[in-house]
Amino acid sequence: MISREQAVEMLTDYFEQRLAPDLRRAVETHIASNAITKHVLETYKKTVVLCRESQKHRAAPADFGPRLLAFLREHTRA
Amino acid sequence: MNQDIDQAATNDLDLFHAAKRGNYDAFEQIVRRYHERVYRLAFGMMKSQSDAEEVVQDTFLNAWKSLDGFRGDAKPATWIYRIAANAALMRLRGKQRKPTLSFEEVPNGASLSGEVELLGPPTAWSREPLEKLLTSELGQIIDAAVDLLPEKYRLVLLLRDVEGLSNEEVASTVGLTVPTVKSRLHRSRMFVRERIEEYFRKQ
Repeated sequence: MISREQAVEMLTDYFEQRLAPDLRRAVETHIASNAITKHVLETYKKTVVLCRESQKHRAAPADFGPRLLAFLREHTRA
Repeated sequence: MNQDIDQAATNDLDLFHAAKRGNYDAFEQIVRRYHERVYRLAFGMMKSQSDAEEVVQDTFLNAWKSLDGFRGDAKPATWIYRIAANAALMRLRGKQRKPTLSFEEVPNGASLSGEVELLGPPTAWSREPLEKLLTSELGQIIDAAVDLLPEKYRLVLLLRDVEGLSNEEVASTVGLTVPTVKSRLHRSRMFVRERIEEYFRKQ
């Protein structure tokens, strides 16, 4: 039986399905009987999605592409 | 426009090899393809539009100068991200740093029992749909949490979770081992998770 701390430390590998079968079963057994670890796993997964969704829409200003190309032409084609 | 460069169809590797041979149209096509991704990473690191734009300029200037060293053994995207990551870290070194956590302050989950005892039972945000959760207020909480991470932790989180690189690609980009990447990623995610948890406890 693994502890909560051990289960939490294995979350990245569990989440990415990289745990060896025996460790995966040990984490799943722990999660089934431990509401706090289950909550941490669920919110850990959600954190990854929330993080990506909140950051990925950052776009450069509309005029940046042409300005960047002009800058690079000036500094690379002497 | 050079006839050899079909903008939509040419794959990244062909473009990089053409640019390496001195084809400037190919280089500009690389810039067009990658500048938004590099800007997003740069903004995540720098937190300012003007600083992010400078990092993007540095990135492509350095890429042009370094194309001779591109051998094609790394994915083109990984090669560009590596240059961008170095450009951002160099710019950050030259600036007055905002306070961030020390490495020791980024949690590894070992404090969870304490968190539960201190703050009470878990909140129900794990069961809420994403669209309902992602308000601009929560976006600011996440931004602030990511911003507090030490720069090298933040870089790993952005490359892995926002840019979608694999652990192996992140390791190659930032010059770390895969276990170190996984450890930093885990601690960064746990830290952001705890800030979100705290936010929902106060609701």
